[in-house]
Amino acid sequence: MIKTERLALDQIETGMLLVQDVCNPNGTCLLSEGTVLSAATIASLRQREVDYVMVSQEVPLTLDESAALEAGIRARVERLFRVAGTDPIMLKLHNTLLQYRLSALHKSNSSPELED
Amino acid sequence: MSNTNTLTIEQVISAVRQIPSLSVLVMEILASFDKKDVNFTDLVRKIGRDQGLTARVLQVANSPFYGNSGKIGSIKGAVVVLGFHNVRSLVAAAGLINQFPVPEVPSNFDRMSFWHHNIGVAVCAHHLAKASGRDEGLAFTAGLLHDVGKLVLDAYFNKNFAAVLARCAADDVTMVMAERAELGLDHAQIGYELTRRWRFPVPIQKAIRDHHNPEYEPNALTDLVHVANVLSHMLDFDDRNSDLMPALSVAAWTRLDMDHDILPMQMAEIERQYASMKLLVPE
Repeated sequence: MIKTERLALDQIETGMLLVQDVCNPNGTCLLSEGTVLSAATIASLRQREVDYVMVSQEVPLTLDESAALEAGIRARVERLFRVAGTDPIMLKLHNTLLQYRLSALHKSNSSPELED
Repeated sequence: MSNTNTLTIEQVISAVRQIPSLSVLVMEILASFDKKDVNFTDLVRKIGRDQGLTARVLQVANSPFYGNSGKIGSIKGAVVVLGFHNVRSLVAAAGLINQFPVPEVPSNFDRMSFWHHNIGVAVCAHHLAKASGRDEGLAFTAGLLHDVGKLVLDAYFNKNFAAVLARCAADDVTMVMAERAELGLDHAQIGYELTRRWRFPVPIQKAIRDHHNPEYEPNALTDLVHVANVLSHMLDFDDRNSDLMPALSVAAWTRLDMDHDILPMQMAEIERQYASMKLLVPE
């Protein structure tokens, strides 16, 4: 899954995606959001004494982590629809939402086949 | 026991009379939704003079969703990049949200969560309107204000509203059900009275009145807001653990000719747009 966090410069690696502009104190933009960090851009950030940046990266989940997130999603969807009853259109929405949330979770992992 | 909390429509109307009018500029913008011959240049100049509004609109215009990070410096510039209609909706939204400052006496009603849900409905309604070739600006504004009656309850009938919130929690029912049981009327009726007093475009008044009951007087804008409200609850924009899915009217869904299969795609797009629009609410 995609993880977004604020990292100190010594923790960033090439291939991470900037999710916020990096500006110097007087407002000039050094790197814009959407930049994929390379060795050169990281070096230039270091040179300009930038301390922190907001980046996102793909983090592979362990089976346990993935199962816990999936259980959380299922519980949330169940709770939201707890009084929706058996109205066919509400059941359809329920299922659509569950699949939507689960597919976002599995998007960047090896997607196991989802059951209905 | 619940009798002590009952409200009459007369009480509501007299409370609504106390609410200050919207600024002349916001009124003018809202009225322009209904007009064909709008003087864009004049309106843009007037908006530009209001620094508070301008700052908030530029924050959204420069958000990642529009892909213009930091490049837009004026309302004129925003109009060039986003188009007059989008900017007009943003200005109306920023103006309306500022109209209801956080009360000094704190209540149990979470304003932040309220605006997040309402912005969610605005974004959903805008998206559905665009997908079905209807007026996006009206849909956005109607969505943004569909629950405005709750703010009237919170501001002017604090005690009655506290009883409503307590019943929501105790009986695990939706707000509108708790209001009808506790007050004998609901936020949709109150919102209607307020927007009538403010002379909003009539379709917006009716969409607010009927968003929980789209069969009352079927209308495309009402259907859009009704379905948008359901989607916004589904996507958890208000971030309340106790939230409940409201019932979806199959008739409204069918009238809009919604394609269930493309819903996940629409939800992804709505979530992206919502992340930007959320910036309209002061933290």
